[in-house]
Amino acid sequence: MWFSPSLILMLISIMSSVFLILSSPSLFISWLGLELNTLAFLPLMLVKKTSMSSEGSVKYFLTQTLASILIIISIVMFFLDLNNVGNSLLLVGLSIKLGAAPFHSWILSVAETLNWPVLFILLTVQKINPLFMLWNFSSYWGNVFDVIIIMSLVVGSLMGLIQTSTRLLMTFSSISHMGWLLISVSFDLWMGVLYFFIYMVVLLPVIMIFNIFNISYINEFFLMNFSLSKQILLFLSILSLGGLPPFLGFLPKWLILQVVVSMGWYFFSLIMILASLFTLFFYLRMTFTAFILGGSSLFETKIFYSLGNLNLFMLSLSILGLPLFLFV
Amino acid sequence: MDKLLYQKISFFLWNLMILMWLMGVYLNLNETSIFLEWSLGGGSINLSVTLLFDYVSCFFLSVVLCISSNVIWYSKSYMHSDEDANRFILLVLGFVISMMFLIISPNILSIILGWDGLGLISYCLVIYYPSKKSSSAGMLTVLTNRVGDVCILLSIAWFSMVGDFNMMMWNLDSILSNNLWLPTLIMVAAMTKSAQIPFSAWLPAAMAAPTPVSALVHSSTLVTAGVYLLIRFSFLLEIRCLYTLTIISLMTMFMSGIVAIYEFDLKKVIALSTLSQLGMMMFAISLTLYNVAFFHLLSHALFKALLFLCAGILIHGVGGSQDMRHFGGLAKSYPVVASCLNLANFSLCGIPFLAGFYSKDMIVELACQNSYGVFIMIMMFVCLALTVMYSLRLVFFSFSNLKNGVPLQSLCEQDKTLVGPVVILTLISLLSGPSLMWLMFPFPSIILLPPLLKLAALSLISISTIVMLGLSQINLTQLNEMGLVSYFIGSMWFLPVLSGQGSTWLGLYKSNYVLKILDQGWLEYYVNLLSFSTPNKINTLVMNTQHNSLKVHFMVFLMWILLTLIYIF
Repeated sequence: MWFSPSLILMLISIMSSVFLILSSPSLFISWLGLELNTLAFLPLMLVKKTSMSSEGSVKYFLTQTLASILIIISIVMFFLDLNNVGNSLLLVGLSIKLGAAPFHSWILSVAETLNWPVLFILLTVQKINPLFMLWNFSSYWGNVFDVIIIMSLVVGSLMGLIQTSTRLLMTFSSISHMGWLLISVSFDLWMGVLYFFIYMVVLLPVIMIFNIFNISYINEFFLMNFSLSKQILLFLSILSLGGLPPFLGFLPKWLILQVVVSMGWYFFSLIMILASLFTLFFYLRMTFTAFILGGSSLFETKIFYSLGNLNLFMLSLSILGLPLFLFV
Repeated sequence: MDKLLYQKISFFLWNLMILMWLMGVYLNLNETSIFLEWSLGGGSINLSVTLLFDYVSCFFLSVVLCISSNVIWYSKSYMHSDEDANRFILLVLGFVISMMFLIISPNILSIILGWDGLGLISYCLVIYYPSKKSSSAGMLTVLTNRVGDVCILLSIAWFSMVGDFNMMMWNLDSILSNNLWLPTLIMVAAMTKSAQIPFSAWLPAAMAAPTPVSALVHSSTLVTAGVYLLIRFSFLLEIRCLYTLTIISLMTMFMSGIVAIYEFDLKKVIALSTLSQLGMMMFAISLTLYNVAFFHLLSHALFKALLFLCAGILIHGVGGSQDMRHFGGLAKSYPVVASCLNLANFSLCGIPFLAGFYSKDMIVELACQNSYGVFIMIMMFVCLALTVMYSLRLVFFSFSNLKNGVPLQSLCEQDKTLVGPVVILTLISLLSGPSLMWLMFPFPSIILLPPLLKLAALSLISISTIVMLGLSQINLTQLNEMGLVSYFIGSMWFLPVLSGQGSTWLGLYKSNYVLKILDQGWLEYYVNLLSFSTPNKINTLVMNTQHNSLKVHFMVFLMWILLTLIYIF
């Protein structure tokens, strides 16, 4: 299923769009790359033909097209010497592509309809392009950027507190991480790249767990039965996503917080810390219901899943990888 | 458990004692000391593990090991009916190790390790029997000792100011010339451990421990750790602290002497006599007679442990009762124990040529020479007389009083394991008096006193003996009609009440309010209930605005774009 030729074509197209955007100095070619990205991602969403997948793909297509239209208009504005309008429209368009708040509502609708691997690609790979474009064509964004960042952090953390669907939980966490990413991109590209890669490494085991057990709602958490040692690994990987210190997920937050505080942006740092506290709360609630409050006595499920070697490697990287700070 | 475990441990400690004794004699005669140091580096503060073996520590070690060896042999039979003897022997061994560690370390960091170990293990030993009395006694013990620990912790900060934690490396002129902090801290720590006047409540209360524990811990080792600390830190103490110490030690001696006359519990009387002798030791230190105080420490340790062991045999004999009014006429049933106990009592009083005479008489005579004033000397003599009085009272009630007594006594004296340690300790305490005196004071001090003062001690002892012999024949019910004075003295000058409820009632009263009103009241409401319901309400409001329809998404986008454009213009 996964390795049919058409799917490989789509994946290669996505990769080539990334290369295109990473190497283009002009807005127009970057826009071209964004379009290629959209078009190549659409068939991936339609692999699993459920009743919802077509709805999600249409919403995705229309929203991304709207964003691309906004980017083209901003290019026109640049040619017309209306730089501030161009800048803000460019920012708005890229934010819609990213799924940053206040333009996040589409990604919630779309994420609900996807299966887990495609959701992983939506949450990670699809964000490379707009982020790079944000860094590449950035000028003084002004207060609009700050509003976007703060709203992403606040919306991502507070709205995640009452979600019951795990897909939406992961989406809100990605919105919150988007806030952190935008701050890191505005400082230094290397920090943004680092944050992004660590986010990918940390998110992968979590989504793998949800994929293996096919968990869509938080009342299904007790169905994860594993041997006790592997349960601890899964528990710790979710904590790593939340940014707890001895794990890898803490490293990017630490770096960015240090830079933000050293620049004197204390209000931002306060909002960032509070938002990560809220996200950590709902991760903890998730893991407590999954691993500590045992519900498995009700259902004697005898299916024991075994993790492959690659999965174990990803898990352990997420948990033990903090000494990478020595190489940063 | 091994059948001969107690004997093996006892034998090992006995051999160690002989080794330490020989080393102590060698070091004393050659006037050398051995200082071992393992330096761990460290910038401005010199961290090192140090051990000091001089004749002071070696003699003290040998006395501690001798007493603990005999006490462990004794407890083989004393605790044989107890099923938890594993815990007991481990605790006693831990105690001995902590004491040994304290004795041989000149380093304030390892002193506090030994000191804390002593306090903690003595708590575990006092709460050995599971009763309410033991539990409250243990709490009083450990919290009073904890005050001393805090003082030593504070003094560690003072040591770090100089740069070295060893007490040998002090340069007194630069820092300590007008500074009273460090001497005061060390003195308060020694006062809590040796149960001087504000902190005396724990020593009689700690008699809830088993008798071997009292013999080892509360007579000779734990309570003398404070005195030992002051002897080691003798270079620090200056005249203003020492004057306070004189007053406090005299008050302690007087209080314990008077209360011991009113007390009827045998072990409490012996505890109060320990307290009185500790006061005597502190008194000697306060007159800068450090060597004499050390000598008194050693000899007192030996015969006080002997006294406790004999008391234990008597208690076993009359079936477990500790009240002196249940004893009576025991001299015929326990001749060996009676003679050893009498020997111990006589050396406590200071009868000539027994161990206590050498130390006590030297203290008294030297105190008459360099004392602060007449009143202090009078108090000292009064306390001497009180010592004789309560010792003779104890002997009277146990052995010669034929009006009381129990009809059924168990023949504890047949048990070699109980009597053996008693006899050995008697021999050692008899021999230790003169031998320690000849070792530690090779040159006698010149004492010039008027004849009245010279004979004062001896004559006081004889007069008190005659007075007590006379009092034993008459009817003493008038003693109970002294009303308030009786109440004051009998409740130990209200010190147990002050140490317990007296200092905590206000805090507990206020914290009841904090608990009921805040912690189980408003904080429950605000933190537990409101912090969950409020985000839920807000979130449900917000989620109502988010539908899944694409039109709504685009309308929201348009609104934000318009806001952005308005902001720009």
